[in-house]
Amino acid sequence: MGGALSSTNGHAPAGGIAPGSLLVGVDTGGTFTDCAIVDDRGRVVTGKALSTKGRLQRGVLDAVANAAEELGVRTEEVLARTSVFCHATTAGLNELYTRSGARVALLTTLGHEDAIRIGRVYLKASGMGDLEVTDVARLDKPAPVVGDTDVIGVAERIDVGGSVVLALTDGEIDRVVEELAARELDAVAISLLWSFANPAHERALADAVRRRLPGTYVTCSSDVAPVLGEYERTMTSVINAYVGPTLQSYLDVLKAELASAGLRSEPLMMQSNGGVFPLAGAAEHAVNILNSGPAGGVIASAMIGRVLGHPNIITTDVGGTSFDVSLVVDGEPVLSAEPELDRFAVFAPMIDVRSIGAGGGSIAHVDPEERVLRVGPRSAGAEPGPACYGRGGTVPTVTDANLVLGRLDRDRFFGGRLRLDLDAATRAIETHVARPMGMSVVEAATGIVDIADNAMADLVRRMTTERGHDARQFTIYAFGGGGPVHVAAYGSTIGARAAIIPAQAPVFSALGVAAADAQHFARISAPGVMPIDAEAANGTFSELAERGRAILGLSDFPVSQRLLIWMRFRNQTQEVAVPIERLPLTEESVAGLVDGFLELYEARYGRGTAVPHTPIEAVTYETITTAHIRPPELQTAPPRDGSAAQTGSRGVFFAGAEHETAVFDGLRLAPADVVQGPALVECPGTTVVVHPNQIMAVDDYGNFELVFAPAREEPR
Amino acid sequence: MTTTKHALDPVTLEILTNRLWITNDEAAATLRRVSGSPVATEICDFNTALMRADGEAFMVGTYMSPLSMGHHFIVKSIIRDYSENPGFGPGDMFICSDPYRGNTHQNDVTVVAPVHVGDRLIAWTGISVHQVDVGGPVYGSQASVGATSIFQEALPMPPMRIVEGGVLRRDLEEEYLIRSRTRDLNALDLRAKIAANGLARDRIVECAERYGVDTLVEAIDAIIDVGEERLRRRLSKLPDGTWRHRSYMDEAPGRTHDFRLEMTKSGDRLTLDFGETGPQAGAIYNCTRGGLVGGVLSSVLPILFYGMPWCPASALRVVDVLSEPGTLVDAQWPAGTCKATTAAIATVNTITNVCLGKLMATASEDELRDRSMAAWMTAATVQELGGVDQRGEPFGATMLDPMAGGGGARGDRDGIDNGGVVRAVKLRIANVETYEFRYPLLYLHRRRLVDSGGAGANRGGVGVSLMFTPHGVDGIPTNVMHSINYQAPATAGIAGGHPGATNSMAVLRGSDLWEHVAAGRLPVDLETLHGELEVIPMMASSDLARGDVYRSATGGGGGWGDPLERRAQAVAADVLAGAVSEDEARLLYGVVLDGQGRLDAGATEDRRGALRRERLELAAAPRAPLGVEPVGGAEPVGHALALYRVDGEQLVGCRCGQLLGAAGTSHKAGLGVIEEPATAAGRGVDPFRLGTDFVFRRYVCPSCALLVETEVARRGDPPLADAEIGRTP
Repeated sequence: MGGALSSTNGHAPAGGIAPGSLLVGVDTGGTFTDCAIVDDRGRVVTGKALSTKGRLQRGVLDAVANAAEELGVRTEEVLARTSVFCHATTAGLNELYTRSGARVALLTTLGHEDAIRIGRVYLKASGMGDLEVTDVARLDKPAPVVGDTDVIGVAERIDVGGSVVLALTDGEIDRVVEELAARELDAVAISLLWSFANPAHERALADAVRRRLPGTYVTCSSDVAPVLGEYERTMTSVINAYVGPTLQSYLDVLKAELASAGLRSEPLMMQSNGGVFPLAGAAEHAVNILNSGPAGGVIASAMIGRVLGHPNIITTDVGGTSFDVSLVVDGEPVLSAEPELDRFAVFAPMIDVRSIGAGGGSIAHVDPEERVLRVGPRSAGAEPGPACYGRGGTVPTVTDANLVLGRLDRDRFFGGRLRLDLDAATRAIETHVARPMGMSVVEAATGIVDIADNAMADLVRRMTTERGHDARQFTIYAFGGGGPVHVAAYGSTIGARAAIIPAQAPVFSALGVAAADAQHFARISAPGVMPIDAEAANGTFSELAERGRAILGLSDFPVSQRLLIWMRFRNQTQEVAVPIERLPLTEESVAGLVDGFLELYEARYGRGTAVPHTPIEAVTYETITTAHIRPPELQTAPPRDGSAAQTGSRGVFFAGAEHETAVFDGLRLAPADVVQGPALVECPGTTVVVHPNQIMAVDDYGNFELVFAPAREEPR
Repeated sequence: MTTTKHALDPVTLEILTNRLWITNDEAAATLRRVSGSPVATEICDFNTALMRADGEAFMVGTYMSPLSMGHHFIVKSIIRDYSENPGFGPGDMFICSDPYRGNTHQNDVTVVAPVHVGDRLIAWTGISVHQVDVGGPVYGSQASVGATSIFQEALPMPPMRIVEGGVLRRDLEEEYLIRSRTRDLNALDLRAKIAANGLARDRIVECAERYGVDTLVEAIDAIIDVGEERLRRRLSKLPDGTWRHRSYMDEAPGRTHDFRLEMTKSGDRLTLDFGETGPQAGAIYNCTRGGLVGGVLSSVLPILFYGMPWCPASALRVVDVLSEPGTLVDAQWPAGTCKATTAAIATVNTITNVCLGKLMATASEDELRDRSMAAWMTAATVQELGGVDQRGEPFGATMLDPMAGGGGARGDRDGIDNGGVVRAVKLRIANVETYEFRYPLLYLHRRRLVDSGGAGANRGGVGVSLMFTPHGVDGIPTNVMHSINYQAPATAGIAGGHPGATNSMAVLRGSDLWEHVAAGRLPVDLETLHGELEVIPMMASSDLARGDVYRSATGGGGGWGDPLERRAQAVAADVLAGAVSEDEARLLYGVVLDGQGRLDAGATEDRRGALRRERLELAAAPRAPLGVEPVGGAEPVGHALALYRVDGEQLVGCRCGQLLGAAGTSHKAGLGVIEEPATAAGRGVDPFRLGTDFVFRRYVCPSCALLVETEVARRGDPPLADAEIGRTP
C-alpha cells in the first residue's frame, strides 16, 4: 500500500526532529520483524525481515538494513542519523506462554507463601472466553511459573501504615540467602506485604542477594509494582523475574550491536502501556514490555487520529488467528483496568487489547451434537493454514469462505506470492459445513463470514458499550491482513461513523513504535481517605516527577508532565483519575480535588450516581512525563493518476446474492478518488472489501476511508 | 437445531444467543464498577439473569449462581399479584428480598426490571447482590442466634416498585435503607443495581430494534428449546438408574439436620427427590422451595450445561425437583432462612453435585465420565465484623476469603486447589492487603490447608486456612462467626475417593502473640501460640480483643477413585507442594518418601500391598458373598464396576470379576465394609474432635481390595444405597 507522512516545506516544526535526522521503529513479532523509518520531511520507508529465534538482534538489524535500502542509504548512515530508535518485541511473552523462562525463587512474607497459588480463587476462570467459563469441570489454574519448593517465607512484617511490626534481622537474611544458594537459580523475586508503603525489608533482601549471589537477576515488588494488592504485585514481580534474564541478555547484545553498527542515541523500548523506557534499563522492568507489540498499532492510530481529527478511535487488527481490539479515547489509548498476562492478574499497565479467536485462519465446523455452525476459536495457523493455501489443510476457514464468496483474488493474494486453491476451499466447505447443514456452498460460506463478522462486532461492542462509550462517536481503524477484508461488515453493524484503512497498514505497529511521543508513567499507591495531607502528597509527586524526568532525559525534545490522583468512593474498586492543576497542593486545593472527583464521577456514571456522605479515597499517585518528539505534520500526498486504478470486475457474493463487483488496484488510487460499493480494492498484503451501498474515498494522506450508509438493517 | 419448531435461521439465532449472553455479563460488569461494597466489587457475590416476558429465566450469569436462580419466581409473583395494582410499565423496577417469593435469603437483595419495546413487554432483567447487613437482631443479618422464626431475623421485603418510570422513589428507598447497619453501602449498591438493570434493558431493546421484536422474542423461545434439547441429548447418553446421597448439616455438637436426595435418571429425564429430608428448623438454616430449586440448578447448570448458556428454563423442563413442604428444603412461613445460602442451599447444591458425580462416573462416554465431579467445598466459614477502624471510622465487613475452599476431584484429573464453590465460577477473594486497609486486622497467614483435599486416585482440591488478629485498634466489638460441616465432612468423594476436610473456627483468647513479636518471632501457626482456645462450633456472636487470634479453616473437595491407585509420583509432588503431609501420604495413599522428600518406590509398593491386605483383614464380610466371573465379555460401568451376565441373569461386579449383587440392587451388599471414626477419612477431618457421632465407612472388593465406595454416616445409620446400576427401565 502506498502513502507517506510527507511535509511540503521541508523544515520541521518546533520540537520536531532536527533536519537530516531520522526516527526508527522496529517491531519484532513471532515470524517477522518490521521496521519503519520516518525522515525529517515525514517520508516513511519500511523494511521487513524474518525473526530469528534465539538471535532476535539479527532480525532487528536486517529489518533496518532492508528499510535503509529503500531509503537508498547505508545502514550505518541511517543509524548515525537516528535521533530516536525505539524497539518493541513479543519475545518475552512467548517465553511466558511456553514456560521456558528462568528458574525463579520467590521471597515473600512468612504465612503468605500461597498467595500466587490461591490466585484470589478467580485464577481458575481468568482469561477464559464468555462460554468457556461455563465448562466448570474443565477449568484449571494455569501452570505456575515458580516451582512449589522455590517459594520461601521470610520472617518480617510491615503493616498498612508502613510501620515495622517485626523487623527483618540479619540472621533471617542469612538464612534466606543460604536457602537460595542451595538452589540453582537464575532469578529471585522479592514481594513482601506492604512493601510499597515501606520498601526497607525488600531492599535489604535484594542487597544481600546481589552481594552474595552475584549474577542473579533480582526483582523487588516495590520497584516493579508499588501498588496495593499482594497477589497481583507478587505475580508482577514473579513474571518480571521469569522473563527478565533472557530479555536482559538479548537487550545487552542488541544495544552493543546497534552501537557498533553506528547508533549514537540511547535506544528506547516501547512498553505495553505505549510509553517508552531506555533500552538499557528496560530488562529490569521486563514485565512492562511483554505486550509492547500490540501497543505500537494503537499508538500509531492515536498519532494518525490527531492528524485526521479523530479523537475517538476503535483500533482493530485481524491477523491469522485472532482479532484484536483497542480504544483511543480523547486522543489517548485506553489502559486495561485489570491487566492479565497469560491469565495471571498483574499490575503492569498495558493498553487494553482484547482478543478473540476470529481471524483468517479460524476454523468453521458444525457442532456434532447440536448441528450448529461455529467459527473458531481453533485456528489452522500458518501451517497447514486454510484449505485454499494448498499446504495440506482440509478444514474450512474464514479465508476459504472469503475466497468462495469472491472477496479474495486467487492470483493476487500476498502480492501474488501465494496462489489460492478455490477448489480446495469449496471442497472443504462442502464437506465440513454445507452438506452437514443441508445448505449450498455459498450459503455455508456466507454463514461462516457472517458469524466471524458478528463475533468481531460483538467484541467491538463490548469494548465500547460495556465501558459506556457510544460507538457512533468513534472511527474504526482497520489494519493487519484481514482487517480491511472484514471492516465493512463489523464496522457498519456497530454504528461507527466510518472506518479508516491507514496507508501504512502493513507496518502500522512499527510506525507507532518509531514516531510516537516518548511517554513515561510513574505511579505509586499511597491509599488515604480525603482530605489527604497536602505535604505528604507534594513529597510523593515530586519524587515521581523526578523519576520521570531522569528516565526521559532526551535533551533534544521538550518535556511536559501531567499529575493525577486516582480516586474513588470508599470500597469501590474502579478509580477515577483526577488531574492536579499545579503543585504544591495546599489545604484548599486538596479540598478542590473532591469537587473535581464528583464532577468526573457523575460525568462517567450519570447524574445522581454519586452518593452523598460516602467517604472518598485517594488511592494512587501518578505522573505522566512526555518527551514531545512531534514527527513532521502529515501533509497531502502527491496526487497520482487514478484513472487506470480499476483493473476489472468479477462476481462477489454479498448477503447471499451475487453482485458484479469492480476491482481496483489500491496502489493506483489517488487522493480524492471515490469508489462506489460493491467493490474490491486490492493492496499488497490485504484487500479492502466495500459492500453494496458503501462508499470508499481516498483522503489527502493516502488513507482509505470507508463511509457507512446509515445503520444497516437486519442481515437477511 | 430447532429448525422444525422455529423459522429463525441458525446464524441469527447464534448471533442473538451470544449477544444476550454478553449482555447479561455486561450488566454484571456495570454492577461491579458502580457498587461500593467489597462483597460485590472484590468478591463478586452477586448474579444476573435475563427472563422472558412470562418470567421464565433463559440466561443466568456465572457469578454466585444461586442468587439469580430464583429471579423467575419473583417476576412470576409480580405478574401474578401486581399486574393490576400497582401494575408495571416501561422504566419501572422492583426491589425484593423475600425468600418466599424467590430470594435465596434476606441478605440477597434483588432488583428486577421489565423490558418494553414501546408498550410491549418482551423480557425482564434481574440482579441480586449479597448486602453486608439488611437488619435484624444480629450484625450481618445471617446468624440470628436463638431465632425461632423469621420474625427474629431481618424481615423480608416483598416486591416493591422502587423505580417508577425511571425515577427512584425516595420514600421506598428510605424504607429499605432504614433497616440496615450499613446503609451507605446499601444505598450505593441500590444505584449499582438500577444502573446494571438499565444497561441490560437498553441492550435488549437495541437488539429488538435491530433484528425486529418478533425475531428477538422467537430467539428467546429458541434459546430455551435448544438448551432443553441439548440437555435431553446429554442425559440420554447416561445410564438409567437411581443414585442416592445424604448429608448431615450441623446445628450444634450432637445436633444435625439430615438432607437426603434420591436421584433417578430415566431416558432423557432426571428426577431429584428431596422428600426424605428432615423437618424444617424454626429459623436460620432452612431454605424455601425457591432456594431448593436454586441450589439444584446451581449444580445442574455448571455440570451439565457446559459450553452453552446457562438456561434455568431449559433445565426445569427436564429436571423434576420433588420436596415435602415443611422440610429443611421447602420451609413454610414463618420459618426463618437468614443463613440459607451457607446452610440449606449450600447443602442442596453439594448433594446434587455428588449425585450427578455418581451418575456421570458410570457413563460409558469419556466426555461425560471425565466431567464427573466429587463434591466441591460446601460452605465457607463466614464471619461478620463491625466496629471502628484504625482511622476512627465505623466499618462493617463480611469476611469471605474462606470461600477459597477446594474443588471436587474429577473423573480425569484432580480438583482445583483453592477453587471455590461449584456454584460460583467468577468468585474472587479479596487480597490480604485490601482487608488490612479496610479493616483493623493483621493477617498472620492465609495459605493452603494441608490434607484438606479428599484423598483419591484424583485428589480433591485443597482448602484454605487463615489467621488474623485485631491491629491498630483496642479491639473489634462485633465478631459474628458461623459455619457448617465442622463435625462431619459434606464434601463427599466419588468412586472410592475420600471426603475433603471439615471446616473449623477457633479464637485463641489473650494469646502471647505480641510477646513473641517483641521477642523477634513471627508466629504463623496457631500451635505456636499460647492462650485460651475457644473452639466455635456452629455460630457465635462475640468480639475480638487485642491479642486475640482468630483462625478459620475451610475444607477441600472430595476425592475421586481409590487413593491407592493415585500415581505415587503425584503424591510425592503433593507432599513437596505442601498439599499433602508425609503422614497422610503414608496412611491414605501408601506412599513412602525417603528422608529427602523423594519417592521411595520399593517401600511404596510394599506399603500399598500391606494396606490392601489390611483392608481385607479389617473388612467385615459382605452381607451377600458371591462368586467370581471371568472378566472377558463384561460391560464396564465406570472405572471400578462391570455388568456380568451369569445364567441369563445380569449381575453387578467389581472390574476384577468379583460379583457383588444383582443388577438394579446396591452393589454395596457385595462389598466388605470397614467402619472407623469419621476422623479416619483424613487428617483434616474434625481436628477439634467435635463430631464423635460420625463414622467413615470404606467399602472394598473382597477379592482385589479395591476401594469401591466410601461414605460418611451417623453412627448406626444403615449403609446408603448409593447406586442401583443396570436396572432395566
